[in-house]
Amino acid sequence: MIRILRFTLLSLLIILTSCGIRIGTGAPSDAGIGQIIDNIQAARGRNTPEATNEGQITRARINSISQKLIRVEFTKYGIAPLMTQVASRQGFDTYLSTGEQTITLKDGRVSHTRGLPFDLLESDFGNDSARKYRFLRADNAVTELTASCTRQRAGQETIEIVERRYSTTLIEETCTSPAVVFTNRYWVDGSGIIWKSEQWLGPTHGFAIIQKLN
Amino acid sequence: MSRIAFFAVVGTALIPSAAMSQTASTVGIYGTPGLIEMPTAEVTPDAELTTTFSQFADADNIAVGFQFLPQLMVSYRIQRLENFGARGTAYDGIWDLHFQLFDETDITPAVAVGLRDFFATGRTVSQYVVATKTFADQLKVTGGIGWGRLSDSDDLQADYSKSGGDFRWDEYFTGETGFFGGIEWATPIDGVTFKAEYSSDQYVQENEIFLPRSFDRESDYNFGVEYTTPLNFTLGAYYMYGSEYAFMLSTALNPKRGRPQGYVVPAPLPIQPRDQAARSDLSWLSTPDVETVAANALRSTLSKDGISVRKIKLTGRQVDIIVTSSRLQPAAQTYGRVARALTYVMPESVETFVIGVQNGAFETAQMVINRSDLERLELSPNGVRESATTFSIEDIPYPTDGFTEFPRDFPRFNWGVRPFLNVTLFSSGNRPAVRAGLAASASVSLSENLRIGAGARLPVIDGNTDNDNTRGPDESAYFTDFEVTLTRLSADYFQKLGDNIYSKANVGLFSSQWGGVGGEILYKRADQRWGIGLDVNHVWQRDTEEYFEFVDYDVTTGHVSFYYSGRGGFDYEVNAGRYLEGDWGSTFTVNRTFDNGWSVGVFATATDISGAEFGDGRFQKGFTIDIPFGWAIGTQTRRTVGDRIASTSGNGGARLRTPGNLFGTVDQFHADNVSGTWGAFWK
Repeated sequence: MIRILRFTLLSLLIILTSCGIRIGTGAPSDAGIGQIIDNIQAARGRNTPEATNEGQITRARINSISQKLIRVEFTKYGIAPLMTQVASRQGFDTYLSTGEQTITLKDGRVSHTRGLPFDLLESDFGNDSARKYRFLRADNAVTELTASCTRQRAGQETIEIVERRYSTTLIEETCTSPAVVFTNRYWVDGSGIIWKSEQWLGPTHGFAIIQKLN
Repeated sequence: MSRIAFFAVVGTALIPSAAMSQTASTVGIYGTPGLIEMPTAEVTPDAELTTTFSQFADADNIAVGFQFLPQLMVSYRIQRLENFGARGTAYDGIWDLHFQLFDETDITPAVAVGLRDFFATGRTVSQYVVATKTFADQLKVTGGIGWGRLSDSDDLQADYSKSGGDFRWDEYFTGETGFFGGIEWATPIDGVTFKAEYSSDQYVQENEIFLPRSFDRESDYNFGVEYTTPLNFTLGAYYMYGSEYAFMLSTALNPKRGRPQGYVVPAPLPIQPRDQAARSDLSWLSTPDVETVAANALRSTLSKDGISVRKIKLTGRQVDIIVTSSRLQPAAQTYGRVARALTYVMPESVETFVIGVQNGAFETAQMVINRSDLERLELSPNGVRESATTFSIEDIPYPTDGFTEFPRDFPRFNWGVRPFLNVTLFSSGNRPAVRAGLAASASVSLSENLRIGAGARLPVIDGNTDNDNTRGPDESAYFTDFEVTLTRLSADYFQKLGDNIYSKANVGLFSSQWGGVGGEILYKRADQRWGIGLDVNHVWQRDTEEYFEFVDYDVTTGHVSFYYSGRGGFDYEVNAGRYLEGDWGSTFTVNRTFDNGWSVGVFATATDISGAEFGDGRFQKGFTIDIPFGWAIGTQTRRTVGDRIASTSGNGGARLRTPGNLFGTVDQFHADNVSGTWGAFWK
């Protein structure tokens, strides 16, 4: 019986080594999500995104791009990627960076982030006295933060975004929760468009300054 | 703006500041919450793994403590005693329990109860009830009552002429009592803490029973300073009993904190909405090879997430798809990524997505998703919670039929190298040995079901220099002197037998000690938390020197196993049957798995083998730690570093492990596992 086992073992070893020498290993290719959207949208006969993050942003360049663009400055990290709108429905606009993060704005307010650690999984803006933010923790458990928010006008300001000036009303929104107090600021023009905002993304990332470029 | 730079800065700020507001708990020189030698009523944060090294007088301690529940810490400590009476150097493996009865409030103190050395396998048997109160966030005052060694007397409870290893319910909290106490002051210097305590340990056995004297106990008071570095290392120096110095180094890891770099994956595709008007259009069904076309379209999207399409079945209103995932990611995320991709590829008329996952060789579970719900819930304010109850998980019927299949190419070759750590603790008095080095593995899959695998270990550190005193051949006796150990060479066959019945058969070398033939069968439904397995193997004990030789011992071993996958990452397992020594008995295991892959468990085995043969105590107990290697180096991989640490080395209660963990593979994509990390479905 042991002889049979020993014979089996030697056979296994021979198969293993001969297969291993013949096959080797290969790594799967790693295409970017932007590339995939390109492929899918091209396949469905739609326009492909044209925006890039390279080089100086000028009004002329913005005008040459058909997609909606925003610039998101993460104040804590000192970076400001350009993001391109990749989805829009029910008042939610989702923007994608070349770094493969997305940020979703509901009527100009940040409602979701994806591709960051400690993502803002979803937001419930239904009730300003009990606004809910749900985050995905590092261990993939959902943690909820309830904040009570009040808004007030904080004056008129003229702002400039890439060679274009807007006269806006600054609206400050102060939110209080047991764990944290934060103030979001929105620069809104006469027709109600939020051209610029400074919004809290959660306990990890702090604030982002979002500018609407077109 | 580079993506790498972005992630690097983001990663530094993962821990929410709210968690940092309380003054941190500290451990004493025995590795459980304490001042210096005396305990406090604090607890370490839930799931914290604390490792402590300390040196005082003739005793060195290495303690590994785990905060198993928010209130309960379990610690295993190896104590080395030098000049201990006539025996010279002695090693003891000691279990400590620390349980917090009440948390601190604004008015009342925290209260804890503890059992030190509760199996009486060492020389520190004692129990305590202790209270701690924090003042002004910087001063902690502790007072308590102790029994045994902490009784401020020569009543040591334990009779050290008997061998320990068992619970001693009738001895705990009996005999003389003593009072102890102290203060801990968080000084204004960041990270520096001052400690002072009144000790109720008279050190009678060291100083009066055994000679020569260990040290001069000239005072009841101990003082010390500790410094905690920003990276969670604590260094302590103490002046003890008016005559001696002591030192301590402690470090804490917490799986709940996740990787320091955070868990980052590229953002998913936004869900693609549908044209209302096109939903009744079924003309696409006449496309030639429509399933192949769909699979190719999905491949371009899903390959990015390490997901491959194995099978697909398309009807006008429903798609059934079965995928495999090669990446370590939460199960919920695999389902979510496939669902999103389907919204791009599936024609508007397809309303039901049935997403199945093949894990290893088994088609284990499928999620049924109503496409309209998916579209609605993506942006719904309460979509995460609502979707968790809307989408259901069920078994994949066996056999599947009507699918177009996209088989993988075989044979497939895999290999890997990872570090290993192996700790062997001999019965009391012998040396514990640590081995560490590289473990290499290679396998060839000849089909979805049949695999040939091999494993080898090359020790780099081999602390196992003296094993003459071991009774039977123990794992550490194999291939010593830095030789390469062949730890596995086996053929493993996996076969699904029914909708929820899974099986495997193994033949070959299963571990460095055992080789043979056998199999296992498992019943587990995708929508329930429990499963039942049966395994039977006949094995021969391997020779300690020749790779393919066996010694003259063989045994038929097997168990009936009950598995329960509890909430919060707690898994329970009961195995009853025959062990490798031919002894009959059962094992109870509680394992806590964290969603980042860390796993810490404790187990106990009782069998009919006699106490003398079993070694230290009538039953085997120990714990297991498994840390994903990916956690340590920041890439996603399924490899882990870890080992079992058992407190006794007697041959009783030893269980065979065969290649291919059936329950772990089958359960991974089941509802019980998905629900705990449901949020990742949307990530």
